[in-house]
Amino acid sequence: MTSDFPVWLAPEEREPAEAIAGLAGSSPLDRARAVGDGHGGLDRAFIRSAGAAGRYGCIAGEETIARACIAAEQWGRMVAPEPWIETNVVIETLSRAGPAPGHAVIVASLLEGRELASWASNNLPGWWGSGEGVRVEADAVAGGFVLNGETGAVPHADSVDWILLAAMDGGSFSHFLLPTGTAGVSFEPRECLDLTRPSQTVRLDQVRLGAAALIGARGSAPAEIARQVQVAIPLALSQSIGAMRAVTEGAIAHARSRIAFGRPIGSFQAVKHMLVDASLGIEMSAALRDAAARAVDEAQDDAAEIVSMAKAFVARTGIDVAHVAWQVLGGMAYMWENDFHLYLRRLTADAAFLGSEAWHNEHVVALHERSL
Amino acid sequence: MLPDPQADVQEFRETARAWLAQNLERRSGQEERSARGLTHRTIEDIATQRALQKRVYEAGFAGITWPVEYGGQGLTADHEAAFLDESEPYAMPDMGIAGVVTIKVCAEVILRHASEEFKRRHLPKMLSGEEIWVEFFSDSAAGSDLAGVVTTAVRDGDDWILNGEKVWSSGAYYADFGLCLARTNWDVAKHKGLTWFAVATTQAGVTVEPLREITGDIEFCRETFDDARIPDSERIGEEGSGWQVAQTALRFEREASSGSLTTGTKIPRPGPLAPDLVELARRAGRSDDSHARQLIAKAHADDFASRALGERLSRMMAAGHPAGGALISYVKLARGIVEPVHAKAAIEIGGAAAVTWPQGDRLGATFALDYLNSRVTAIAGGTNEIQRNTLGERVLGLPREPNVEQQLTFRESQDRARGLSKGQG
Ligand SMILES: Cc1cc2nc3c(=O)[nH]c(=O)nc-3n(C[C@H](O)[C@H](O)[C@H](O)COP(=O)(O)OP(=O)(O)OC[C@H]3O[C@@H](n4cnc5c(N)ncnc54)[C@H](O)[C@@H]3O)c2cc1C
Repeated sequence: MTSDFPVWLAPEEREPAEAIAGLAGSSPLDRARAVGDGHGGLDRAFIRSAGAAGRYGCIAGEETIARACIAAEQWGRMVAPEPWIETNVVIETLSRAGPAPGHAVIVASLLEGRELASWASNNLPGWWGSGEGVRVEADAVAGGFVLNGETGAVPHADSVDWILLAAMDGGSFSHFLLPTGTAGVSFEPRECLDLTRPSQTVRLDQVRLGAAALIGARGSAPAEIARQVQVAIPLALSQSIGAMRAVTEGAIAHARSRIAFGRPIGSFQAVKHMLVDASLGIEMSAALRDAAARAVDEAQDDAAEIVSMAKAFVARTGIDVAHVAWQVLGGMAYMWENDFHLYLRRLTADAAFLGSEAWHNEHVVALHERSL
Repeated sequence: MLPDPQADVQEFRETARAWLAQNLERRSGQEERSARGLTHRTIEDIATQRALQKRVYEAGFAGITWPVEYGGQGLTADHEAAFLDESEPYAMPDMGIAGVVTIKVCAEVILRHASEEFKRRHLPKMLSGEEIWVEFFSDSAAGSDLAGVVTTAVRDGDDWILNGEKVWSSGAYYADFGLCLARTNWDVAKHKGLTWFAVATTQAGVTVEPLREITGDIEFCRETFDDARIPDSERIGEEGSGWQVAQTALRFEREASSGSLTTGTKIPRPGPLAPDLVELARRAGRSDDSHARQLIAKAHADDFASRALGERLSRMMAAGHPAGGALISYVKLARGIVEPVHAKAAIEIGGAAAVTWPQGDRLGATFALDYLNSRVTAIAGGTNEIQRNTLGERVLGLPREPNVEQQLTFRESQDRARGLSKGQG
C-alpha cells in the first residue's frame, strides 16, 4: 500500500529494500492483482529478472537466515504473489541433501529464477495436527519410485516446475522432488481466501519418478522437515511483518489526512491508541522473528522453541494488526479497488499456514514437558 | 606512552573481584524481591543496607562513571560493566524501590539541572547511602497530568513556603529527601509556572504518612506540606523551568521502569516455561489441560517478546531511529499490557488454587501478590494510555488532540474544568 508516512529502515535494510523495490517493471501490486484476478499465472519474466539480479533465490552458500529475512520483509510489503518462500526452502533442502547428480543444475536454475518450486508444507508427517498428514505413498520399483495419492493445498502448484513433497515410504517418510509435468500428475483447483497465493490439490496417479527424484536418503524426511520448518518460518514471519508494516503505514497515513468532526481522525484516541497497539505488535513480532532467525543461524538449543513462539505470536498479531487497519480505513477498506483486502487476505492465510497459533503453543509446552 | 585502557579495566576488575570476595556475601538464590515483595522493608533493614552501601562507596565502587567532584570515580562505562559483571553473584546493597530511584532518576535530574553547589552537597551522600531520595511527583490532584500539580511554593525572602499534598511516593517512609514538583505561579500557562525543590522528609511542616496498599503492605506514602520552609539553595533548575526539568525526570523514570532495556544489547533467551503458571496448573491438576497449556504458552511468548523487544529497540536507537528515546515507551507499554494478561491467566489456570492457599504457604501468597501487583506497570510512572499518546504523537506522527487549555492561565484552566465537571459545557 502506498503511503506518505515516513518509513524508517535500519542501515542493513536499505540496500536490499531499494534493490527489491527497484526490480519491478510493473508495480508489484499490479502483479499481485494480476494473480489475484486470475489473469495469467506468475510473471515469469519478472522472476527471471529478479533472479538475474541475485534477488530471488537467496538462501544459498554463506547467506544467513537473518539476512534472508530482510529480503523476505520487502517481498511481504508488496504481497509478493510468487512462491518465494517455497522456492527458497527447496533450494536450501537440495543444497544440504548433498551433491546428487542433477541437483546442482536445479539449484542453479531456481537461484536464477529460471525455474520455480513449491513445497507441500501442509502435509508434513507429525506437523500441524491431525487431518494434515501425508497422503502420498511411494513404492520402490526398478530404477525409481511410483507415487500415488494426493496432497492438501500446495501454493502455486500448477504454475511451478517442481514440488517438494514427503511421501510414506514403507514404515517411514521420504522426500521427493516432483517435476510437475510428469505423467499422472494433475491439479485440482481450490478457492483461496488469499487471492495472491492460489493453491491447488496435487493428485498423483501412478506417477513414475526416477531414482534422482529422491531427496536425501530414504526415510530421512522427518529429520529434514524439522530443519525446513526452521528455515521457512522466520522467512514466512518476515513476509507477514512486511505486510503488517504496509497496512499499518497505510492506515497511519489515512488517519493523518482523513477529517471528521473538524479534526484528523488520528487525533481521536480511539483511533490513535489502536494504531499504537498495532505498531507495538509489529515491533514485538519483529523482535521475536529476529530472535528466531538468530537462534536458527547459530543452531541454539532453544531454536525450535523460539521458532514456534514466534510463529504463534505473529499468527495472532498479524490478524489483529490487519483488523486495526481495517477499522481505521472504514468504508474504504471494503472497496475491491483498495489494496487493503489483498493484505488482509494474505495475513489471515499466513496465520493458518505452517501451523496455527494453537498448534505452535502446544508445541512450545510439549518441548518443556519435563518441567510440567 | 598512553596507558592501555583495556589493561586498566582488567586491573579494576581484579581489584573489584578481590574486594567483593572479602567483603560481601554471595547471593543464596532464595532472596525476597527487594520491592513490592512479601516482606515489609523496615527502617532497620534499610539501615543495614545503607551501612553496606557506605562500604561499597568507600571502597571506590559506587558512582563508577560519575565525576570525581560529586563523589564518583570518573571511570568509563567499561569499568562499570566490569564491576556489574563481578558483583553479579553477590548480595549487593538493596535499598528497595527508593534506592533505585535515588540513583536512576533523582541523581540524573540533579546532575543535569541543579546548581554546582547543590550537586557537591547532595550527590556524594546519594552515592554513599546517606541520602535516600524519592519522587514527590504526583499530587493527590494530578498524576498523569503531572503539569497540573497544585502543590504550591511561594517565595519568601531566601526561602520558599510550600503547601499541598503529594501521594503514592514509593519508599518515602524510609527516605531522606523528596524530589518535589511545585507550582510557583498560577497566573501563567500550566506548563510555565512549575519549579522543582529538594524537600527533606524530616523537616518542619512536612508530614509523611505511610499508606497501606491493596497488597496489605506499606510502601508508598502521602506527604502533607503545611507552610514547610525550603531554602532557595534547595531549588533545582530555574524558577518556572519545571516542565523542562520534568522531561528529564520522566525519561529516566520510564527507563528505570522498563527494566529490560537496561540490559541493552544482551541477547535474551526464553528460559524456563512460565514457572508460576506451570506450578498453578500442577496444583490445580491441569497440567494436561489444553486450555491451560495454551495460556501458559501465550504468557511465555509474551514475556519473551517483551524482553526481545527491549533488545530490538536498543539496536534501533543505536542505528539512529529518528524517534530516539521515545521508543522506550514501547517497552513500558508492552509490559503494561502483558503483565495483566499473565496475571489473569494465573487466575484462570489455578482456579480455586490461585485464590485460596494453605496458611503459611509462601508460594500461594506470592501468586496472589503477583496478581495484585500486575497493574503497577500499567499505571505507575505513566499509564498505558499516556504511553499510547506519546507513541502515537512522537513515533507514529499522529496529530495531537485539541488543547483546551491553550491561551488559559493555570488558574483559568482549573476554573473551566470545574465548570465542565458540573456539566456546564
Ligand atoms: C504502585 C505505585 C507506585 C507509585 N509510585 C510513585 C512515586 O514514587 N512517586 C510519584 O510521584 N507517583 C507515584 N505513583 C503515582 C503514579 O505515577 C500515578 O498513579 C500515575 O501517573 C497515574 O496517575 P493517577 O493515578 O492520578 O491517574 P489519573 O491521571 O487520574 O488517570 C486515571 C485514568 O485516566 C486515564 N487518563 C488520564 N489522562 C488521560 C489522557 N490524557 N488520555 C487518556 N487517558 C487518560 C489514565 O490512563 C487512567 O486510566 C505510583 C503509583 C502506583 C500505583
